Amino acid sequence: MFEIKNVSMIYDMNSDEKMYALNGFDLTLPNTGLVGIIGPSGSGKSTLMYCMSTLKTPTEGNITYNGQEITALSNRQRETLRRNEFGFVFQKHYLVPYMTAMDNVIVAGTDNDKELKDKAAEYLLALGLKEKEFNKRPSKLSGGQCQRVAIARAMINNPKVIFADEPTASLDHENAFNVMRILKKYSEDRLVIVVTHDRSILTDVDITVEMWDGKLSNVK
Amino acid sequence: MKGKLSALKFVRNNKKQVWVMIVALSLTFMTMYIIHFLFLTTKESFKVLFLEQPKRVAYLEITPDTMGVKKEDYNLDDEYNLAIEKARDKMIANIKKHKGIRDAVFTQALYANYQGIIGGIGYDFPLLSKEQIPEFVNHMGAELIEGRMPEGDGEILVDEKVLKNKKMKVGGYFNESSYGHTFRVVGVLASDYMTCVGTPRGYTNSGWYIVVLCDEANADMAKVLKDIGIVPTEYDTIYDSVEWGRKYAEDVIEQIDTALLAILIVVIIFLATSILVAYVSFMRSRVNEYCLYTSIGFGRKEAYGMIMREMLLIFGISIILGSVVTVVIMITFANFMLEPMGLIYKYFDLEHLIRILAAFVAIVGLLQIPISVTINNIKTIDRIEE
Repeated sequence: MFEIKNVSMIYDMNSDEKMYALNGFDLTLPNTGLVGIIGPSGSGKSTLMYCMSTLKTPTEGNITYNGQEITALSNRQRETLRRNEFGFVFQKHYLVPYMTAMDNVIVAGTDNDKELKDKAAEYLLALGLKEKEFNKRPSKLSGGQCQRVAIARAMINNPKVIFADEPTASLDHENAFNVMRILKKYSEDRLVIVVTHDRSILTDVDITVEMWDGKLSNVK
Repeated sequence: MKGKLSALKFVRNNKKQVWVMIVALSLTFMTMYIIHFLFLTTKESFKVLFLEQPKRVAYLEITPDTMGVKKEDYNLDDEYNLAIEKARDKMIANIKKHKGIRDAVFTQALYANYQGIIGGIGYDFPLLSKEQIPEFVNHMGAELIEGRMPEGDGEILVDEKVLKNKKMKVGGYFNESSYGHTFRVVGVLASDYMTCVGTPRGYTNSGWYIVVLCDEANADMAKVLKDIGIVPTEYDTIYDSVEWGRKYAEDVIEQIDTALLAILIVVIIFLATSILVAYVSFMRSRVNEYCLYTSIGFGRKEAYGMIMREMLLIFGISIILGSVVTVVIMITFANFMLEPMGLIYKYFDLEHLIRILAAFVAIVGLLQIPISVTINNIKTIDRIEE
C-alpha cells in the first residue's frame, strides 16, 4: 500500500545547518495490519506519519500510496485523499469544544445520517464511553474520554488507513490496551499506523518500525 | 462519501451566542426601519399639504405694480386703492376664465399648523362666505362627516386629521391661543387634501389672498398669470404647486433625508464595528476547529462555505425576526401614536428596505476581512503540533 523511497524532510532549509527530520528513509507497508512506529522524541516518527498522510510534503524522495505518487499531488487532491481514505488521531484530541461527543464523531459525516450515528454509538461504546456521555461536550469529559472520541472520529468513515499519533498517551493502561485491541481489530482489513514511544502498547502489532534520528533503525 | 461541513451544528450547539447575535442584528434592523418609518410619517403627512393640496387650491398676493397700478399715477390714496381694486377684480375675472380654473376669490385666510413627529408646518386656508363654502368643499373632494356647514361668522370646518392633530373636537375654538373664541369648529371634513375652510370674523393676521380653485394641470399660477398677461415679480407671493413643491423638496425631503442618512450611517458604523470586533474574537476562538477540518480533508473552501452558511443563517433569521418585531412595533406606533395625532403613515417602503438589506450585505462584505484572514491562516494540525 505504502512505498516510501529515499524520503528526506529538512527543516530550516535556508539555514547553514540543515535539520533532517527524515533522512533518506525507505519503507514499504502492506494494505492491512497494525503498524507501530516507535522511536525517541525527535526521531522523526511524527514527521514520517505526516508525510505519509499528505499533511506534509517531503523535501526529497517519493511516497507512493496504492500506486499513486502522493508527493506530486495538488493540495486539493491531497485533501480529497485525506477525506476519503485516511483517518487521523492526533496527539491532542482536537475535539470541537461546542459539539457533543456524538457530534464530534460525526463532524466529518453527513448531517442527520442515522447510519452514521448508529456507527458512532457503536464505536463510542466499544471504546468504553457510556451512552449518557454521548451528549456531553469535551469540557465535561476526561482527557481519556476525549481521546477515545477522537479515535471514534478517525474510524467513523471506515478509512483505508488510520494514522494515530500517540493515541493512548492520555489513557490509563486498561483503556490504552482496550484502544489498541480496537485498532488491532480494525487493522484486520485495513492499515493502522500507530506512532508511539510507549513500547508496551505495541505487543500485538504486525510490524514494528523503529526510528532513530530520522532514519529507519529496525523493522520487525 | 462525506457531506459538507454543517452550519447547523454551530447554531444548534451555541444557542446563547447565536441568539445574542440574532437579537442584536434584529434590533438593529428594527431600529433602522422604525426610525425611517417615523421620519416617513412626517414626509407622508406633510406631502398632502405641500404637494397634494396645492394641486387643488393656490393663494396669490399680487402687488399693484404687477397688476399695472403705479402709485405715482395717483394723487389720492382713495383713487389709488380704487384702481388696485379694479385691477384685482379684472385679474380675478381673467383668472376665472382660464382653462382649468374653477373659481377665484379675494378673501382672508386663516393660519393653521400641523405637527409631525419631527417638526411641524404652517399653512393657510380660506375664509369664505357661507354660500361659497359648499363649492370649495366640493372642489376639494371633501365630505362633511360630523357637525354642520358654517352658517354664521367665525365658523370653521376642519379636516379630521388636522382636528386630531390639534387635539380638538367639534365645538372647540380653532387656534384659541391666537384668536381666542373667534373661530369655532362646527364640522369635520374627510378629504384627501386635509381641507379646512371657514367663514371670517374680523381680521386675522394671516393676510388676504386671491384664492384660486384650480385643477392639477393648471396649478402652476405663474403660468396662469402669464397666460392672462401678468408677469409676476419677486415681490409677488404665489403659494401654488410649484412653490410648495420647491419648499417640500428643500424643507422636508432634503432635511429629513439628510437627518435620516446621518442616523443610518451612525447605526451602520456602530453595528459594523461591533460585529467586526465580535467576529474577530469569534474567528480566533475557532481556529483549532478549522485546522481540524483541513487536516481531516476538508479544504479551506469547505471551511469558508461553512462559515458563510452559518453567517447567512444568522443574518437570515435576524432579518425575519427583525421584520416581525418591526411590524409589531409599527402597528403599535400607528395605533397608539400616529392615528391619535392624525398623521399619515406608510408601513412598507421598498426603497428603504433595500437600503437596509444593502447595509447588511455591506456588513457581510466587511466581515469577509476577518474571515479571509482566518481562512488564510488555517494550518493543518501537524504545523500546530510542531
